[in-house]
Formats: sequence, C-alpha cells, structure tokens
Amino acid sequence: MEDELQPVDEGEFVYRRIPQKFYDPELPVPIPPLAFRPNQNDTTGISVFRSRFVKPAETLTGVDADKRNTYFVAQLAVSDLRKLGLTVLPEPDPNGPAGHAVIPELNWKAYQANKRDLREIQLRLGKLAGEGIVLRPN
Amino acid sequence: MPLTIELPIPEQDWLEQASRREKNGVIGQNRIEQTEDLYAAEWQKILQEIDEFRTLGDNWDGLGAKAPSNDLLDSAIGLARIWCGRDLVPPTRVLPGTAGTVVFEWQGDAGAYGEVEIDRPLHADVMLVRPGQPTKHWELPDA
Repeated sequence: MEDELQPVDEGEFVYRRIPQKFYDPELPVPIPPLAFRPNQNDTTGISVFRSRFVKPAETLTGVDADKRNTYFVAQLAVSDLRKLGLTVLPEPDPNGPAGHAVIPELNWKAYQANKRDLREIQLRLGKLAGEGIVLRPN
Repeated sequence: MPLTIELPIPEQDWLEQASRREKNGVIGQNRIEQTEDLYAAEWQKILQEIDEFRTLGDNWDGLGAKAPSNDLLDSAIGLARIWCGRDLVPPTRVLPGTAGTVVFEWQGDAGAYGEVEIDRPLHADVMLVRPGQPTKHWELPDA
C-alpha cells in the first residue's frame, strides 16, 4: 500500500477500463469522449490504474463478476495526459485492484463547472485510448 | 458533418415530440411507410436503441453507473424525432452515459465530430468539431 502512494512518474503508464459498448473499431474515433466523462461517483476524479502495480486483466476484478467480460482496457502514457493538462494522483483502494489512481481534473464537480473545455480533452483522450487497447473481452 | 445539427431546437417543439406516445414508443409505423426521408430507417433503428435503454438498471456497467430516467429517454426520443423530421444524417451511434445521460455521436470525414449529450430532461450540451475551425459548444433548447 505504501508503494502505491508514491507520486506518479511521467514515464509511467495507466490503464482505463472501457465498457464494451463504448468501443467500435470501425470508427475513426473508436472510443467516445463519454468513456472519460465522470459520473456522480467520481468525486475525486475518474479512475485509472498504474501499470507498475497491476496487469490489465486485474483491473477488472473491481467490476461486478457478471460484467467483467464486457470490458476493454486501454493503456495511456502519463506523459500524454500531461500534454493535455491532466495529472494522475495515487488513490489506493484497499477493496479494489492495486495501483488505483485518479485524474483529478476530471472529477464530477469540475466537469459540471467546465464542460466545454473538458469535453474537448475527453475527445482527445478517446483518440489516444483507441490506439492503446491492451485487453479485449474474450 | 450535417449542418442541420446547428439548426435551433425550440423548447416547445422538443416538449411536444418528447410527450408523444406511439405504439412502439418511437416513430409510428405509418410515418416510416409514408415518408420519403432518406434516413428514416436508420433513425428508426436509433430510436429503438434509445427505447431499449429503458431496460438498463442502475449499475448497468458493473461499476455503479446510473441508468437514464424515463423522462430523459423521452427527451432523447423527442429530440431524435425532430432531427429525423429534418432529414438530418442519423448519428454514428447513440450511447448511455454512466451518469444517466444519453449521447448522440456523429463522426465525419477528416476529423469532423459532433456530440449531443442529454444530461437532464429537455436539456442537452452540444459540441461540434470541424477541422480548421474553432470547436463550437452550445446548449439545447436554444429557441
């Protein structure tokens, strides 16, 4: 747990879980901005997982068992996130997969206050994530 | 990328279309048979997809997502009826958001991108990206 609190290095990668219905490989932007949009539960930011602590499949242990096989996992470079003005903060979850972190700029309240700028960033995240799929449903 | 997404959506028109009740909850069959609308069949499919979102419960994603309310889905269907009536190119896809929203998405050539997110009944946020032009944002209804 202590290691998981170490600050996130620019050279790290993080994983983002993508619901199957949000991925269409036939489209120019296969993953919509919606996949990076916070909901009411994302009070501190949307969830990602640090690749140094967890394998892509392990990130799905936090999903209800009957829906685990309906997810893609995308890998994102922290350096790319920073270019978009985003940071990654460790937020270990003792009840979930290791390496949990959040993108604080994409928390629910921040999104409600600044939808226009953040939607454009989410679109760019969708493009990046579409190029970094590392796990597909069986 | 369709230009008509930028045409104003009057609040009263949206309300009327959202309040319509038809056999399948979407576009009446007669309209499909009688129409010469180029995209009517595709719109019918989109509308049925939205109608099927009524079966989503909370936690539909296994991570605590909120299901869209029936009122919000009625709004999504009403907005789609307006666009269908204007022969707007149907969206590339329509998706439920994890915050209980519904999103219409258009993807065009060379990076054109449009997104309309209904986040509460009779309210939507629009983003329209055209290459080489500033991204446009506005809210619906806007008339």
